[in-house]
Amino acid sequence: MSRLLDINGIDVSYGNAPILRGVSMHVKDGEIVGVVGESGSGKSTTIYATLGILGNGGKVTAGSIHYDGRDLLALSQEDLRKMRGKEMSLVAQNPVTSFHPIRKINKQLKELVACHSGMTYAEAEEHMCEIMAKMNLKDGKRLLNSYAFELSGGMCQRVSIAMALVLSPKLLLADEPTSALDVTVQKQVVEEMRKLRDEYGNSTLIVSHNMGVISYISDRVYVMFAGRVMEYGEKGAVIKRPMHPYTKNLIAAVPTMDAPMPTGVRPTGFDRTVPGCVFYQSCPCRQEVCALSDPEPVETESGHFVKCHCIREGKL
Amino acid sequence: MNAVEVENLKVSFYSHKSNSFVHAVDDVSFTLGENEFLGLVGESGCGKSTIARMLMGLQIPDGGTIRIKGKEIKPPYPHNVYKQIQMIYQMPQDSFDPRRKVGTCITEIQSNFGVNKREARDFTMHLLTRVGLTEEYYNKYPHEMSGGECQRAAIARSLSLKPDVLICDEPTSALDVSVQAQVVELLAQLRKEMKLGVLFISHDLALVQGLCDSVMVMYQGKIVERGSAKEITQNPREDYTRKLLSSVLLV
Repeated sequence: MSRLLDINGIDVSYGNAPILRGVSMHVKDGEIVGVVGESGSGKSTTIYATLGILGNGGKVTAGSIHYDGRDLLALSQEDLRKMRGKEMSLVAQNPVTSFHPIRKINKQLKELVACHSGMTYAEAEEHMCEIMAKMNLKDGKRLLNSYAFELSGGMCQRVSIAMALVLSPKLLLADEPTSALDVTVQKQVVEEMRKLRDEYGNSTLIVSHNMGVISYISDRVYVMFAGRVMEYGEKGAVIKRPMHPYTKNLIAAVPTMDAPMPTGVRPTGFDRTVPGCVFYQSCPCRQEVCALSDPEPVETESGHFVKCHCIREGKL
Repeated sequence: MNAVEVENLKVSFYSHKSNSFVHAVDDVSFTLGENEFLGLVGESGCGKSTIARMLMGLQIPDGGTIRIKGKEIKPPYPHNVYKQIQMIYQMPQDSFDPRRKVGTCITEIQSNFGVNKREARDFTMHLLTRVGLTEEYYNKYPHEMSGGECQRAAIARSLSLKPDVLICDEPTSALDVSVQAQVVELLAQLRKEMKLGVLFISHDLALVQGLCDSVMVMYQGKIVERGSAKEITQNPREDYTRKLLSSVLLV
């Protein structure tokens, strides 16, 4: 499988504040990649950088982002605009606010079709109803004729996923698509995103702070902390056999069905500007070298990479 | 004596869409023992928060009785009911006045109940350190704090009148997992220390089962099942509980 999206060592800063440092990730054809991390770890920023919609003075200062062989950072805003929606599209966190509040959804679909050639409105409407039907929304025509606020959160999120897929983009970027939904709807949406991938073969980059969602939906997982990728690999490897002390800490804090809540978990403070490992302050196995230099990823098993000095030296 | 007794509590809202009344809370009865950690789970819109609002006197029930420490209370609640029952909310930042310092908010509540300024200030400092913040936080504004810190301050505020009952309406849904683990650990400790009866509302069954003594499952305005955390997760009697359990995405 070739790499559809290849993010290579990007640094992003908002004004003078550095947010991401040396973030690399890739998404292969037809793959669902999950990015998990706590608030402020730079998960959403990675998605916005890919789409070229950083805003607020955000800039990619180093590294490269390639989509299907094209260098996204070299493209003009106009070229990017043509790609957004058609080649890659975004599912936002809050479905109700991601639609225009005083325009019906079909009007927004018309606008989408008008901005991108290749499909008439009638075709788009039919295709969208078809996708919605696959997500258990039978009454597509009526939904299209409603305002976003008239739909429930779960319905609205499914409509926005359908809208993101209507022009058959190759890459779907989902920014916390389920965090505004409650558990029963969450499971449904996540299941349906998987089903749609099987049906249409689109690649997905999904960002979430919910470990359950990521471990259910993804093929591969990246763990981010303080603007850096700490560990990545196959889902089973990262979640069942976490190697990085930060990942272990994070997974230990997730409530389970058969044990009392864990005690003694400490949230980890961080300083993005340190030269060494960002987890240094809270790391149980830190050593001198950790404060001085940022570790390079080490492959612990096939495709499972960990950024930690202790693992490199075999101390963990 | 039970901390809270609720009998046949009812409320309905008029829906313009269907031109009929929706029974948001439909004939609900339950008791919350002293020093009991009771979980209330259910999906969005099932009426969990409406129960909390009625217990706090923010929503007037259509019928039913609420007794706190054996004494029946009717809305509008007299001032001193809030010495017994307090609540923490889902969005910690939104539950503080954005233009006032956190310490001032906590002190003011005590002043309203006749505690003199100096004592109130000292007790606020004590509470802030107890919930794991430092005394510097007295002079911070809500926007200067992270979600977890702000939720701790909200817990300090709710405990400033030494209540018997604490209602937590999804206190951790806006927080990261590691912060969540820490906040619920704090709640569990404080419950023991201050002999609190806690009603813990959440939609996360895994969290509730790991934290609470007993759990109530709510669906469409009714409490469909109540049992110990173990019974509910391992031996659910109701179909709805099973459905809720099956939708928990485990790691």
